[in-house]
Amino acid sequence: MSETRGRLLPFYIIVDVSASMAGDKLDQANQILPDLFDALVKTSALQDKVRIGLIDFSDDARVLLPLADLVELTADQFPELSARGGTSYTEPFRLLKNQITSDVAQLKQDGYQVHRPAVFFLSDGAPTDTNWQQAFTELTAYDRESKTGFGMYPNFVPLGVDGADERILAQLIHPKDGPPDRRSRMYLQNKNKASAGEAIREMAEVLIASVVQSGQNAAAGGSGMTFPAHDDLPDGIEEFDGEDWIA
Amino acid sequence: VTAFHLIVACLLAAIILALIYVYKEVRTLKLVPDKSDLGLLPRPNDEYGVAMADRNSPPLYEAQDLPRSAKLTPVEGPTLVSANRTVVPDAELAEDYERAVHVMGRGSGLDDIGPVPDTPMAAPRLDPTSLNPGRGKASSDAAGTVQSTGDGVALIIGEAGLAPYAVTDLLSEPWGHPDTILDAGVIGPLHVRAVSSRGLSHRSYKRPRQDSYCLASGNSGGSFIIGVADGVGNSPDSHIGASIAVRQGCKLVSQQLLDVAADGIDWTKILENLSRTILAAHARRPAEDVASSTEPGLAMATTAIFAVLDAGLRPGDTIGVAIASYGDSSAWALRANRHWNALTPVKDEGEEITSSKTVALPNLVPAALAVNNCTIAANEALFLMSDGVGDPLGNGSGEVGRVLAELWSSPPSLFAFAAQVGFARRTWDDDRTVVGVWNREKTSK
Repeated sequence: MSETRGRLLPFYIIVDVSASMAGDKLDQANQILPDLFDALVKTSALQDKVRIGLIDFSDDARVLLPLADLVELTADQFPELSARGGTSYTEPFRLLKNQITSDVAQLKQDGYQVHRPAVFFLSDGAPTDTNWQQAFTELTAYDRESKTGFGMYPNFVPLGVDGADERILAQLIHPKDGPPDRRSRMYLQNKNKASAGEAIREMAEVLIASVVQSGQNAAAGGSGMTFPAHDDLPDGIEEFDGEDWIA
Repeated sequence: VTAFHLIVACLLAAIILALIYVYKEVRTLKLVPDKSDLGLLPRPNDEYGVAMADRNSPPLYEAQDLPRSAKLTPVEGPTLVSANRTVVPDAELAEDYERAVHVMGRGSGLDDIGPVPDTPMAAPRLDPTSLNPGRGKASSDAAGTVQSTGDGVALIIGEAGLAPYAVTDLLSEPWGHPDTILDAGVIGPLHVRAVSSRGLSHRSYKRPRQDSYCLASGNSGGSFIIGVADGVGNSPDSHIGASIAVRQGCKLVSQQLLDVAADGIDWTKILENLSRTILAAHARRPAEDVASSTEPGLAMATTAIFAVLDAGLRPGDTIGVAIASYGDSSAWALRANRHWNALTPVKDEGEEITSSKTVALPNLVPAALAVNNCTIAANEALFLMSDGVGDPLGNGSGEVGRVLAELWSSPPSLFAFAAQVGFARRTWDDDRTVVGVWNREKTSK
């Protein structure tokens, strides 16, 4: 391509809507997009280049908001999360891979360059299916040398509250290794200090700070996504990187 | 008693000396208007305190060079209303603004420019609600608070997006780093325009400009040296790295030119020196100014590109240029047919996922040094630029390339050049730096 129309930063938010999420947890999760909207409007430089998508999952997974320019949405276009059924991890991983593939293809066809997508994956329970590891590998494995695997693999940030299995969520941190500024993170509810709903609200703050800082980093020639400094973390959640769980 | 008198006498003497010093300073103070307040900013119903330069002479006269009685009335011409601000450009700028208005009006390149209408063109209207119908309807009080930009949007290439209108931030932290620096003038047969301006992203995040440039001479004025650097990443200090790279780099080039010709410069040695200098500067930073997690290799990370040009030739001669590039800042020749000729490797756009990653000093990757010895013929121009301009330019064959090739087919006036380098184009919000050198066939007017 001779020239690029622009350069975009895609973020996907994936939310567990299994029956146990009903109530305060989903109420807080439903506040993520409006809060993110406010943050984008206040951070003028970001509005043009951030794209947000929302996927929910239970026994199946659904695209509630296709990758969109959030600040262009009207209030009635903000999707509402509501609880249903069990907890399949396979379904959202497969759906996400398809979404990323088609979204990136579409944006490139529209003349844009696309930064590596970032995914925030919120769950409050262990998966009820068994094949999720394979689906996750298909979503994230890529060999730079041979160019085999999924080249558009996302940076994956698991967020866990209540009954989420931290051993399982830790396997979803991607990339796990590499230089410190490239490694992804996991955020878990600190059950001594916060309820699940409070933790979700604080995770939303981390998510928003990460979107805002990643936007700045991308403009300045940085690589990968950016997370808020450890000292700035709210009390109700704890942060881990891949190496914390290697043992 | 004598000791007391002595102390009093000393104090009095010191005060008198201080007063004399202050008086001298005040007397020699030159009242020069803030350059940011000239040319681009509106002065309706006012006289200009400064004459704008023509294309071939140094661009700026200081106020005291003009007779007090001189009244320079604004030139009648197209009036560009940008956001809520009226700009009355001088004749030189008017031409460029006409083009800008055309580009705005049609949302495309210069190919479709028709005749300029006699009546002033309808000013482009900025209506935030029409730009963004969703704004204000969601949950936010902040919504709808779109303000006009600080200095208007002088040139739009393609689609502007919201950010050029919405980013209004003035300050940066740390304080005291100018948003924009610019230079213009003539050296030998070469007409030079240079601008380094903070991008919308850094304005919005109140970060200083991380780009820098340096103009220098070597070989007793026979060589003209340009350095451009682009500080990388989130480090609070990369603007310092960029500043060191261009100044120290130009100095090292100048020193080598005492012994060798431009095509014999040992660029590896220069990069090694710059790497050491940047690491040493980082080590000297007070601990409280440096985040503990910052790695030395990232703290002041910066790209660097240098060009050495023959400046001792006559107008009309083809000049030799030696270029050395480390990182993703780029060099281009604008050939006589308005064709952009990349003099450094163009970024690979074949990747599925794009990355802003680049090699950067103080890290040394010898294979990443790109050296090119080439020529610029009469009526051609050389441009060194940071990726804030280089990336949207792509390989030069698109809309951005067409517009800039048209505007830069001859040297623009200084402030027009600054406005052009700051063109608005959706999502392109990095710092912008361009040093342009026109090898003019004729230097007389």
